[in-house]
Amino acid sequence: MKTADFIGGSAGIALGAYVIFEGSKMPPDLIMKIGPSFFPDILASGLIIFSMILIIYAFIGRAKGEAEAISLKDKGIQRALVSLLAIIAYTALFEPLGYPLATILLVAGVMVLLGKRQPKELAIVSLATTFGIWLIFAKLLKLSMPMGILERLL
Amino acid sequence: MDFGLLFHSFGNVMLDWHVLLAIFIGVTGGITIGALPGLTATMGVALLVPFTFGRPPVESLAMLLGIYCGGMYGGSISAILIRTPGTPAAAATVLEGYPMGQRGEAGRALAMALFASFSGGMIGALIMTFLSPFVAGVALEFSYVEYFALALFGLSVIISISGTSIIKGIMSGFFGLLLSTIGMDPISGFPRFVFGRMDLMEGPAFIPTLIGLFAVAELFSNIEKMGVTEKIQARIGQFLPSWADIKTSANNIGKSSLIGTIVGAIPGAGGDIAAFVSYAEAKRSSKHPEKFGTGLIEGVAATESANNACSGGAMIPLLSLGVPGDAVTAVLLGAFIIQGLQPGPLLYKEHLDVVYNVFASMIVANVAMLIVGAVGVRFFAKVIGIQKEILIPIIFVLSLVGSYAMRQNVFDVYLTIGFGVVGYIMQRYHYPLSPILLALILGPMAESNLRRSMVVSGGDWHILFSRPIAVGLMVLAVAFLAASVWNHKRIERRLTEAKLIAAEGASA
Repeated sequence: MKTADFIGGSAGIALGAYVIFEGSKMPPDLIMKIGPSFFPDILASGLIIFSMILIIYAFIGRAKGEAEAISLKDKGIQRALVSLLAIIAYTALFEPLGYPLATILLVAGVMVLLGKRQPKELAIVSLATTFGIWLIFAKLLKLSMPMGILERLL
Repeated sequence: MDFGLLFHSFGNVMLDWHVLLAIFIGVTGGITIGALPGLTATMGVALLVPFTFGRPPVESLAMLLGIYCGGMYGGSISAILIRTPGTPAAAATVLEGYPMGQRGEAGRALAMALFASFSGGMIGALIMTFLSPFVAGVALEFSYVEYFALALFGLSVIISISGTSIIKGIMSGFFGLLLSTIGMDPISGFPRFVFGRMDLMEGPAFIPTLIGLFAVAELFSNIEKMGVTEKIQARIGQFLPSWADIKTSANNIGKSSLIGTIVGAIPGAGGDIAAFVSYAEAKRSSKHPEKFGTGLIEGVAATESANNACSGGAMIPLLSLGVPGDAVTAVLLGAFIIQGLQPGPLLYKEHLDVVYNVFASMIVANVAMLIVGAVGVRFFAKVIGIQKEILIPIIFVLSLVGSYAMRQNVFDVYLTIGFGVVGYIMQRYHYPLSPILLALILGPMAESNLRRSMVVSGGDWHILFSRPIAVGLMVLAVAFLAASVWNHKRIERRLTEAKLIAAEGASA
């Protein structure tokens, strides 16, 4: 946990410093004494102070708990990373490709990623999920779902 | 307490089939999600909030309360059947429930868990119904200064929901508070940290943020640690507990329901703490404490009535003060706001009907839980067996489509994914996520009321100390903070002890 806490603390300090820097560019308030940067400044200072405490604790050996490093060689991490890329691609394709096609691809893709390979199972689950969720959002809740290229075809 | 209105609200809830259906759907969804290990009640409510977009407030809130009640009970099913609590609140149920299941008494344990959950939930809901109008009555006198102090008090809770490290909990809190400053400044309208994006003018959208932190992050860790899904072999031949079991446990159910409600009403302390405290009390006051850990029905009764009573308790500060009692109620608060309702004393003044509908819905949801639980226990036991390979992609789609649905904006979906990654990394390194949620809600409340107070006083800080209730709340916040730090170590020690007992019981 020592290295992890050091990295976490540094990230906290960096974020706090960024907020204070941005806050310095905000206009002051002459009447009420506290302007738009007042609150963010206090919070950022708090974050910096506690991040420093975390780092100091890590140095003096009082870091709590165990932590595994994120290693790209780890199969689990690889799976999580691929699933992240899959949902980013899904989001990018959501409007141009349309909800139905993008969703069928995502569900089948993630199932394959997690070890399901049977074509029949992949087809049933992805089609049923896509249709079921469309039914709830588009028909029951009457929210519009992008149909993408299907709209032009239909 | 207006009994006429309460009676009328029961009519609203029970005679309108839309509302009744919403409650039953909520309870069924809640039990299912609760029963699935890795999916908590918080995640359930977050995932299903988008299902309420465009529906009337009574119906939406009824469904969410149904999920809340159902989720608390659902956790016990997997706790008893596969020794994995479906939700953190059911962790203590494993101690007695699983040994009972191993003896072939899974049906008996499940029946008691359901009955105790119902009784606890009912007692909690009744206490909420009678107590919260009183608390709100006091809070009606509040001005900006008191609201600022109230937000501070709510934030002082962060330490008690910090998990293993107080420092990391506070860091999460500051991070959440900073997130809450994104968007237009509440007083001057100056855009802060928006990176030139119009989508961020109102701050990061609440539901997408929530789904990212509590659903997508959880999915990533589930994918990282994919395990084998356990098959359920237990035979369940009983739906309701026997009269003898009820008689043995009645005392424990009553006591634990009270403990649960009180623990629930303390902001920050949730169902897991309520269940462990009640379990310890049941053991302490038992005539045969040595038998605890071997599968005692009183133990199941104590833990399950406590965690369900906790829901009613947690609703008290939410409804009457606008301060959430735990992570689920923080999500519920978001759901109220989406419906255009701001929980707090003003809700009693402006939307009293909504408040009483909430009371009625909560009570009806508990009855619905008893019915759905008894009829569907075999089905829910099967649900635990659903393979993660199928479940995960479905929840991915629900999460992403749910965050898109509210504003029909792809940016919100990216926001969800971003918070999913942040939440996953934070959780992996033990930074608790609940403080972020609390901060996102209480941050704007603290800032805008502080600044408004300053407008009123012309920049004079003395105004903060000019009103007795505000000073009282601030003193209370400091006291709560100090007590939490002191308590943190004690609770931590107790939880480790209880988990050790659980581990020993399992290996024996």
